[in-house]
Amino acid sequence: MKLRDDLTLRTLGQEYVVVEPSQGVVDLSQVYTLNETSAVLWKTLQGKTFDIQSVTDVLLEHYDVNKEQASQDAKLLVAEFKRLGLLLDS
Amino acid sequence: MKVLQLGKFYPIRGGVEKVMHDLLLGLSETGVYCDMLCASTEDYPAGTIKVNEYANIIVEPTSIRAASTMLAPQMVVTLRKICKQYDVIHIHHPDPMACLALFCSGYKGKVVLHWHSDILKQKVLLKLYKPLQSWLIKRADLLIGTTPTYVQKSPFLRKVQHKVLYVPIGVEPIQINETKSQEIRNRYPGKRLIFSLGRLVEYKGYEYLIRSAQYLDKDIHILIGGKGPLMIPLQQLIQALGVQDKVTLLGFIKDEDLSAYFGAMEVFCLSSIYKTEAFGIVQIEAMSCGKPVVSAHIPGSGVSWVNAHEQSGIVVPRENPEALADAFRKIFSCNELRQNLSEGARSRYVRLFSKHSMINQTLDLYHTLLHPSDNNEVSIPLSTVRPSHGNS
Repeated sequence: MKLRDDLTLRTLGQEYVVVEPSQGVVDLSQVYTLNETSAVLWKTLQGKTFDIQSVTDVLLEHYDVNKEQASQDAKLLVAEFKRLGLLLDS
Repeated sequence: MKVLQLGKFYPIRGGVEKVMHDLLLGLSETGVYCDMLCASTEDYPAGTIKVNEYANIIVEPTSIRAASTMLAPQMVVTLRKICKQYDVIHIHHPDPMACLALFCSGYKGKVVLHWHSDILKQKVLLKLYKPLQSWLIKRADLLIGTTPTYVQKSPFLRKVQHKVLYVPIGVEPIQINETKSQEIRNRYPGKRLIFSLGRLVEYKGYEYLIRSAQYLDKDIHILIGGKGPLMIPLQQLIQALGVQDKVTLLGFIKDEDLSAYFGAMEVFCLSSIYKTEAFGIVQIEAMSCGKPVVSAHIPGSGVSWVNAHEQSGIVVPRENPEALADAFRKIFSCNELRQNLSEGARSRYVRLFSKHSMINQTLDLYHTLLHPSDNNEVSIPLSTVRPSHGNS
């Protein structure tokens, strides 16, 4: 799977948001807020093909967390991205 | 929500002030409190103008004019006094005075910086202002450009792209009065009209538009509306080239007469050559009435994003009279192309450049800035976990 490449990560004040520029204009009625961990993952995964294992590896690399916890959170995150339609299957 | 539009001048003359005023009116009409704090110009008296139940314009006196900017020290005092009332201060750049006022205000709320253009010509001013400008860029919670191109290419914004978005300028569509437009066509019998509008100054590139007439047949006529310091030199150029029967300088056109020219022309031309032309609002006015636009490509400017090549018009290399003439000939000689560009211009206007869309997008931005948690949230619990060493 891949993150949708038509989406852009931005910071608004202290917040991370993903916005959708479509047909030359940013659709601000479709905005997704990311917490810091999700934003770190977004930045790392953007443009790459990944699976649960690679997301787990990113978490293990960036955070002081055990393998089991990282794998569980990776599954949770991918499910969230999927639910909100932010992923492309490939 | 209470918003303050900060900067520029009253009465409304320039494009930036027009955008601020449109935001003030549009937001207040939707029930959002929105005031504007600006400096007076043309000796307009200072004071507060009540626009409606939700909007006031606070005009501060201008005491000194220096290096192409106005100094209105009272703005600093007033902003310090009133800033706490506002959830968002929306500051419009370039305006060093407004930036200084914000710097001195001690304001702690959200700041939106609307980046209309870089400071290009005033090198002395930029040197003095640069530290303050850097502070403002850093302080802003969000930067808004008017086109994606301009803000992506601005040398001052390279390091802050992560907080840059854009909201295209929007205008009301031009309402054409067909009778008045026909009167103008009757003044130029047997001619097909090209129209251009703007101050007669160097960056508008009128020299090249006038020179393009040399390559055009006699059934095409270029009308240029506007006044400015180049009126006499451009008139002399027309004489010297012997194109009096193909180009007319119309001088200043009153607002109430403008729509007739937009209706009478078949093609609009924006011949501007420098980045001082950051957007070209006249292009979207022409597009609103389905007129194809011929414009010159200016590196780093938003002009050729506004007029999309082969969608809403034709974009040619700048300072190139032959290329301008080729584009005009192409449009006039092919009905199908003209029709496609006309439809493309109108639909691009509707999709991107309506006033309604500018106001709604701005409102969405304020809302996202103030209430980020109202959006779809992606949150995993790891944020509470300590980052591993050397990685965050």
